[in-house]
Amino acid sequence: MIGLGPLLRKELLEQWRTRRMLVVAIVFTAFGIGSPFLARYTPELVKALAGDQLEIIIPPPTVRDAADQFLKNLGQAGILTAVLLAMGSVAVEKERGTAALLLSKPASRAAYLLAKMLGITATLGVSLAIAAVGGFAYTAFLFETLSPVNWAAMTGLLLLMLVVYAALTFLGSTLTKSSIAAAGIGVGGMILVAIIGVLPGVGPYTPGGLSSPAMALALGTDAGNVIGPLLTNLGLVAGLLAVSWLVFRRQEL
Amino acid sequence: MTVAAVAPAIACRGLTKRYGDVLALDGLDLEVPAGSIFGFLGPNGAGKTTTIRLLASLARATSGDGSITGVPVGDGTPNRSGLIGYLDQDPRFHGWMTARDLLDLVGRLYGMTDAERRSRITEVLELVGLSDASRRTIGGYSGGMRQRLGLAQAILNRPPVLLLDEPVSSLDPEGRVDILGVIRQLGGESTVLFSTHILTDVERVCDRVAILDRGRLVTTGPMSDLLERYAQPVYRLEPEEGQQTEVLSLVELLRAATWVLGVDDGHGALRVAVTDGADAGRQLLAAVTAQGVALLAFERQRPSLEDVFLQLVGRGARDQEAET
Amino acid sequence: MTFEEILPLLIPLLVLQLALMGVGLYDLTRPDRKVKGGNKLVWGLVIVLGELFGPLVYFLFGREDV
Repeated sequence: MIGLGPLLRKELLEQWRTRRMLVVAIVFTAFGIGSPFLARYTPELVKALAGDQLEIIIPPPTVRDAADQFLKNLGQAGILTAVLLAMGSVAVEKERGTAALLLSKPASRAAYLLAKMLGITATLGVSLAIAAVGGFAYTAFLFETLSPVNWAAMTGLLLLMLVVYAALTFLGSTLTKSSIAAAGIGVGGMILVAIIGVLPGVGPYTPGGLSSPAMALALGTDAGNVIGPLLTNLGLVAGLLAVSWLVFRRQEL
Repeated sequence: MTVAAVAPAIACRGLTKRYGDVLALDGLDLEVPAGSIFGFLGPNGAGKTTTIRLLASLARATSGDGSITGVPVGDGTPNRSGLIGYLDQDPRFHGWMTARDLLDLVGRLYGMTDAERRSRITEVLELVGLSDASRRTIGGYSGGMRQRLGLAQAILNRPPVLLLDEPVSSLDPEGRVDILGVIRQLGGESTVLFSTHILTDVERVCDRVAILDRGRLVTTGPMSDLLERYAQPVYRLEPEEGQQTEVLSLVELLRAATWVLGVDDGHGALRVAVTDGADAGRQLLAAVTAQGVALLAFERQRPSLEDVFLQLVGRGARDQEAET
Repeated sequence: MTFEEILPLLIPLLVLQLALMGVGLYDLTRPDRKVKGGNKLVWGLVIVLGELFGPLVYFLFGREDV
């Protein structure tokens, strides 16, 4: 891993200076606090708009709806962000020649890839952490105060899911010189994983399958087997990175 | 004693690179002795960039091998050991960085301490003439500024071997002279391999050259040897005005002489290529006197690399035209 | 539910949305900024009308040479 330290420093500096981390943090935080807000007021809003003409019976919103909205909204915004962050990561540097510049220096290709993936993970992680704090506070104000440890555990699983999707796109980014093609490979990979998840017994181990234990963790109910899916998805990230390295180390720059 | 002490700075043995059906480099054998400033010449597509990319471990050889101070390039060991400084022909950087950010990153990769980086970065920025722009982001740099920065990052750790691909191609004439001066200074501490298709650049700074054409080595050696071997001596005569008849008969006389290879008459001057410089000079002056031609100027032109190049590659180019 | 009741909760959301739009437009109008497709007006509309996703796509995909 020659050069990992300086390369990681460069990636983190890049996430900050190009405003990527700031923008992702703002977007995630907006979804983080917006989710409990919508969970609380959407039923009343629907009722107000429908007026007296329709007698709709809407159950009063609960803290479960807040957590559900939080996971759904940040899941969707997060997947888009993960793809956008990873798609150009390696492809653009290969296409522009900046990868060649760095790799003519004392820097191994493994270190180069790992630094990039850690940079993406940092942006997703920091942004999700801020969003989680905001979401926790809004939920506490509008519904009830949950266990912060449980809320953090939920956020951790959500982060892992996003990192898996980023790693899929990242593999695409090492395979091609085009960020659009990389995004295509990433989305294709997600669809493939979702299809495999339909097979009996496989679903809970896919990245998408992390959302139900995440939900249970947030509410403090029985999450079932968390360790298995956790390790599977961590392994998936490691495996995708390893394949990226096998591809990248043979490539001409 | 280490291997590096006896190995040539750069060595290629049968280095070959094929891109599909195109043979970009065809069995290149080359040795660059330590301490030389080596000009790597050839028309576009001759294989210069391919060779440099192979030596910088950015591309993989189809067959053959190369080494930097005795260390094989195949798996990128010279890069990781900080043995090479590499400058791309069109260097591109991260637009968000300033020149200082980039050099700081490069210095960190080389394991330089904070103090070393601080002083060395200021030093190289000064050397390549980027001190004033060093805190601006590279996104707004011109091609020439990027090339200067490219040289700065290549020399930051004073590597033993510098691989510079067209290092002055984007610079204006003044900038060219500046940067060629920097490269000449580097000759003292590094071995410089420097590709170009501008012959006067090479004449200014290089002590040895190699000429490549269509992926093959045409010739290599010390510059003075090549000039002596391939450049024909040429005299330039500038007659006073209003002597058309005398000049015409002089040209006729010279064209008939056995020691004259050719006479070029134009722009108010005669260029006379001769077989043997020293002897022909005397005979030439005698002929001028015999025809009663008054001269404004008479000089023996220094043989130029251009003559060598035209003779070796120009002929090749004509053959190529004849083939098609 | 009254408007006064939810306003304090709504303000942070509006501030974030406006900050994002502001940062986006500020970045877009830098003279040395180049954008994908070359048309800054289109990206300006994406930033202003695209709610949260507009600036996100602009910052993560829309810029050249960053």
